[in-house]
Amino acid sequence: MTKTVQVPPFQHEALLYDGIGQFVDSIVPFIREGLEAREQVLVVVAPAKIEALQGELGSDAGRVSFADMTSLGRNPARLIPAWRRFIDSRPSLGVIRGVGEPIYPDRSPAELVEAQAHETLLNVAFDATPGLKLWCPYDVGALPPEVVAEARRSHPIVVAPGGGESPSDTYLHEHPSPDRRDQPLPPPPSHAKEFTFASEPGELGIVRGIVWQYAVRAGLSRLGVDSLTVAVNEIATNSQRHGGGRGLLRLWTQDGSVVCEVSDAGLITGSPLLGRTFPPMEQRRGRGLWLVNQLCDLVQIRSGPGGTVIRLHLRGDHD
Amino acid sequence: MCCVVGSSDQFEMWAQRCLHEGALAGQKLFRVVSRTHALPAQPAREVTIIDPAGLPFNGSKTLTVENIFAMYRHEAAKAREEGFTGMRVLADMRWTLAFPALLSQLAAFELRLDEVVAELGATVVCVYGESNHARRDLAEVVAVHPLTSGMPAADPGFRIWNLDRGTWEIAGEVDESNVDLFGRALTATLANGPVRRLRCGALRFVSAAGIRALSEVGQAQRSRTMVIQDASPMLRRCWAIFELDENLSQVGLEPAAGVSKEVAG
Repeated sequence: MTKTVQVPPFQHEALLYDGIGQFVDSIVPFIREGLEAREQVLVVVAPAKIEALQGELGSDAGRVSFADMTSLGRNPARLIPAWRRFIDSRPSLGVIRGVGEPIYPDRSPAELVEAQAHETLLNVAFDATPGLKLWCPYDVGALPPEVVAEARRSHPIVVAPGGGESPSDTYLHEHPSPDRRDQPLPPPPSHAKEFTFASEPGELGIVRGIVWQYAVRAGLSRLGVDSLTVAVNEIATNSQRHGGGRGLLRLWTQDGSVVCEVSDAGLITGSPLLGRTFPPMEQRRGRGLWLVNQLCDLVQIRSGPGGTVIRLHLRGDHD
Repeated sequence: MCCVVGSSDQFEMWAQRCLHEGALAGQKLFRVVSRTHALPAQPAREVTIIDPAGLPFNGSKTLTVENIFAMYRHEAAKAREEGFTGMRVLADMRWTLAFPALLSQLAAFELRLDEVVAELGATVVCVYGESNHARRDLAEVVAVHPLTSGMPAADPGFRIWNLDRGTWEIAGEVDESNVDLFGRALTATLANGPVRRLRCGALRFVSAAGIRALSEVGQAQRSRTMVIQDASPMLRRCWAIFELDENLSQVGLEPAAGVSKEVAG
């Protein structure tokens, strides 16, 4: 007799908790339930919370995979690929139980928008992936009410401390802009350096030289300088190829980061998961944005009828 | 070595200087030139003229790359028997214009020549005229020479040349403006046998598309191992980001000598 295993559909739920005590009291039973059901468990939260969970789980902590959200999720665009990798690594079509807290009080306003885009894009990325049960904790005592309200819009289910689940009545089944490409960006500061470039041979080399020099002077590490140079080269290449053949490069420093903005007349169309889907070797297009997301601490992509603006952030402590 | 000249006068002035240097070094001197192109009226020194179109090798009278290389091998041996230190060949590459099939594979021809030159210890200088060859062909040719003289209008931005059997050196910068050329040059290296080692210590920049071109060399020779030597920390990082370290296990990346494991990441 063959036993049929029912794999549940993707479950994306927001846990609304208040303080580290409620966090641990809610997450530990969720993890234990997964371990008892022989599910694979991945927890991506800040280091202090990993420590608290490991302390509470004792020897069971060894059966759970942990990752530091402040490192892996520094650029929220790296999180979907990380979940995808974890899912693809499961030995069979078993259930994956996950905890991911991409939104926490220390996020800057710019990071917050991208982290909220990530939350919405999870619904797009894993809608057709059965077997993933993901809890996204939100510290309601430390986060502004509008952030919690947005969590209700991006999660179909809301979980109360203690585990009570209820449907979110404000959940957006069809988000009008899951990747937030239409969200306005604050204007660049008046002191930003500006350079235009076109498609003539040698122009990309000039762009790279400008970025490299600026990043060195701003004090980035050698690897940080090279990462930013490679990333800007890819974005400027896109301007040459798809953005009307020319672009405007702006550079400035902000809150300990070097910010490089490339704008052009192009319009980005296609999947909202652009740059979040691993490009296999045979794929020629979409490699640049993948690389940029992996190299930069934050990537803001805005595109509409007026053109495209992409901002890349690299922090001074980038390693 | 490759020389790109703008005019016949420039060419002749340059040719005389090149041959003079060869004579001082005790080399036997050759000029490769098609009979359809004018020769200097009074050669300044003893120079053997070779017309590639007239080479009756193997009785076939068919010009092939291997015929030309056989001729080089034959002449190099003869020169040594005659007491010369070696051979110096000044090739006026206008002769290739008569062979469209060869013209489309100049880079592959030059890369193969690189290997023969290294094998014979000969000096071969290929001179191209900007008014004779297409800009794209010239860029391709310049790309596969370690040394370039003259001021080529179409600098490819990178160079790739042979160091030893299966070992190639890459220098310069690869981005969108030259990545197609880079891919073709890498493909041409494969025509000369397996690529075992790509030395990248002088490769100052390589874009995502350039990394893909590098990976294609490894992919094209799946059953053979290949080493990308002197790979910068950034190249190794990007290689890992594209998961080529996992999916292309026959290709190994070695950091530059003196770079510790910690720095190499």
